[in-house]
Amino acid sequence: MLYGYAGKILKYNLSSAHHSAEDIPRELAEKYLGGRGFIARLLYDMLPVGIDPLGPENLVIIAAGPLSGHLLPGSGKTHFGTLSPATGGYGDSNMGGHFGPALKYAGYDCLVLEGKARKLSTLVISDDRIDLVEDEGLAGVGAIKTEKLLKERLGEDYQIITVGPGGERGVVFSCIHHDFGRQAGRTGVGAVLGSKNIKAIAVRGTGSLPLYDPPGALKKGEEMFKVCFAKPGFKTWTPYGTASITGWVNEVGAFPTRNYQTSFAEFHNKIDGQAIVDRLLVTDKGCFCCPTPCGKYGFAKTELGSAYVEGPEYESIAILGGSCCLEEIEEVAYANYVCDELGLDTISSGVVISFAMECFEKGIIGKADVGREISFGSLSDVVYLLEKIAARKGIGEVLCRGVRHAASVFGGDSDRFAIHVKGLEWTGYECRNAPGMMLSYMTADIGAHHNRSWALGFDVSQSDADVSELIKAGGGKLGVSSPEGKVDHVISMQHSRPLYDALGICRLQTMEIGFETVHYEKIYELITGNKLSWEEMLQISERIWHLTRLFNSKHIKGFGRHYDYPPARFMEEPVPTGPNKGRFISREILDQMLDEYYEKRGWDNNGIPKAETLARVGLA
Amino acid sequence: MWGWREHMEPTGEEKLITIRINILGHLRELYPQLGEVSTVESESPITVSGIIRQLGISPRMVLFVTGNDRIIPKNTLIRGSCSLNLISPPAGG
Amino acid sequence: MRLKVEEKRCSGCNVCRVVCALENFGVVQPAKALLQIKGLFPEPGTYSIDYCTQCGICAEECPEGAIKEDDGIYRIDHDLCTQCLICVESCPFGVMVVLDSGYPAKCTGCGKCVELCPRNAILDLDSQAVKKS
Repeated sequence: MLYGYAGKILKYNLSSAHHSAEDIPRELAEKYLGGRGFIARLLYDMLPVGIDPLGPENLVIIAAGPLSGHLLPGSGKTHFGTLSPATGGYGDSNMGGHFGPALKYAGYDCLVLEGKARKLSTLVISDDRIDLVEDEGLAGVGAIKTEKLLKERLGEDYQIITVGPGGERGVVFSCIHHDFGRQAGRTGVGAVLGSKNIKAIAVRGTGSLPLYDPPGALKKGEEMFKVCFAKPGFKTWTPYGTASITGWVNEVGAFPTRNYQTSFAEFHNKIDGQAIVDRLLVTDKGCFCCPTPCGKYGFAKTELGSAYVEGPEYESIAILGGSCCLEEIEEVAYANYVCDELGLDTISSGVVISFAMECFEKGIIGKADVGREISFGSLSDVVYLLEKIAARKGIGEVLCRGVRHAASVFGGDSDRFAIHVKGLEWTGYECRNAPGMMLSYMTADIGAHHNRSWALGFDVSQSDADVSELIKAGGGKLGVSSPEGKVDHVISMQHSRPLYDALGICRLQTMEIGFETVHYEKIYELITGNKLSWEEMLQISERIWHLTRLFNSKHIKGFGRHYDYPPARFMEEPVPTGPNKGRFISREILDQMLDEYYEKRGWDNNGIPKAETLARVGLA
Repeated sequence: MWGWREHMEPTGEEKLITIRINILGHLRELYPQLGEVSTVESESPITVSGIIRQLGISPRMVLFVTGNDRIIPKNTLIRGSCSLNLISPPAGG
Repeated sequence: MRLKVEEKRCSGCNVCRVVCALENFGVVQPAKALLQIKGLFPEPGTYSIDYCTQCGICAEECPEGAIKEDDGIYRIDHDLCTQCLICVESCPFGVMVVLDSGYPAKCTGCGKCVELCPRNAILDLDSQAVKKS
């Protein structure tokens, strides 16, 4: 008996409709925990090399963790994994909401989808009853509207994930949508699900999860909530959620604007957390078992239209607001809604669009290519381009394949400011004075992403190191942040943060309100009967880290060091204005950091894990 | 726990005020010398930024400041003894 | 305790339902919870909470007189209950459940939902104090 787990992996072949529920091997659970761990292991073992990410041989794996669905803070997370159509390498994405718990209550910790359904379909799981329902009437229907229709048809007690028109058409940055505002945003998981002719998966779970120590788990779970309630941050995090950092990121000159040309927005207080609260907010919307609901559900009214939307989160503010220069919170929220309904990742969409805007400004593309004139700061242009992308029409047919591809088509030196790593678009932090954060983006396994390691605070504390000078000067320009000491910090975070994705829980209670990890050790033992220290769990997370690196070297032809660099803009162009005016991080410095990183990781000079490293972490 | 309103306004002769500061989150790791709670004594009034600087921290290292469940902007003038929470930059979204 | 709700505060987290089933039946199984949370999305974007108001309709409808009131709380007497489940059907809020044993179950005011609701969306009807502001 695997206490804490539902105990089964459901493998579904959509081509044949054959499916089987297999017991989770104990060794898999012990060595990989669940969630991201299951995904990394199963993808590595099951996926043949050389397949088309949008072909039937690719897999979509959906996995909850051992702590998902249990009584403890933030236990609602679901993880998705696939061979990414954006990067050709390891792709995963984490999602809040209620889906993972429902899947477990239905009896499955993990769902593996392969093949392709004959026609556009909805997979309906109601405990042990599984139906693949052909549903061509949902073709082209928005992701949010689809969820609404299915809730009405099936019942409110279903938890549903959907794919929008973007995913149906294979836009490589399509997302998976859930619970009227949550997404698995990155690496194109929505496109892969859409390529399998799956429009939605609906799960109703009425079962229970086995507990090793039920009275102990109840008592400890209750205690964990009360510990959260007593944190001073309990009351301060929730009102603004992730948007709370907008002002600060501008203050430290890390806010991307105009396709990462600049790093400060004068209009930031019109698109920050306070703007959301004052102008949009209807409800603080939470994930399963979350004591600090950071989802800001609201109503945005613009000249183009009005919509209810969850968000915008900080990332959407940074990219749609900052990089695309939408200066009013209503505009950012509306653009966010359009992305959500079309089923497109707000981050990659915004980066691709701001890239197109810069190319247009520079005359690299023109009105004939785009279909109209476009410029930064225009909501109407953003929505126009989103619709083109989702429809794969006109310029959308180029942009839908991501910024790396678009640069290869547009030419004219545009690859210098195609802001991505490994083919995954950059996210909400401009890093020309943040070497730790820069390294985080360079070495994240899925491509440019901030979730694995968030080193910006450490970078800023270093560039502010001479506090007395700063106090005398009354603020102003930040000192140069040194690369010293950053590698260790990045490596440590690359183990601690993704660990939450393997456990199936949210990391924000720890990261935002200081909830101590020792509680997770204790509840894990009471739920599963296994004793694992946080340190031992971090070792499992490290194992997963090397495994996803191996996956990339297996599946990306010629994979190596040259995949770990940022765009030329960040290595060669000084920031022209703002708190980090003049800053950039040279290739020489980044080379030194990469050398140190590879050495400490136990990888060779090309960034491939050495045999002795694999042996050390149990991957030999 | 001192209430916010009672102690925001100076009480007659109060020229020296005491501010009790809870250091939260990553700030504890970055500035371990401050511990979990620090105290600043200052002449009244003083800005929130000024209080932060007296601790030897750059205001840029503080995401925002709260007192009595409200966010207090960094340029707010503090006139009376009170208790504040310093929230460090979080770990992202 | 008897309950009251402030639906506008609800964030949809379902902690109340998870702790309800675990406290009352020893299971991690929100399907057995004695209250329901429904999201009203995309519009108006709020949550509704269906809970036992101790209205007594289940007791009125029970043909065996197996549901009795004690200090404002209605409880099911298993010695008298014949598992006809008329009470479950008659509940105007749909918040009675059928256990694996076949017996119906209803809220008996244990108060765990109040204790753990992070939003003060479920409260003790008879208390003025608010535990977490």
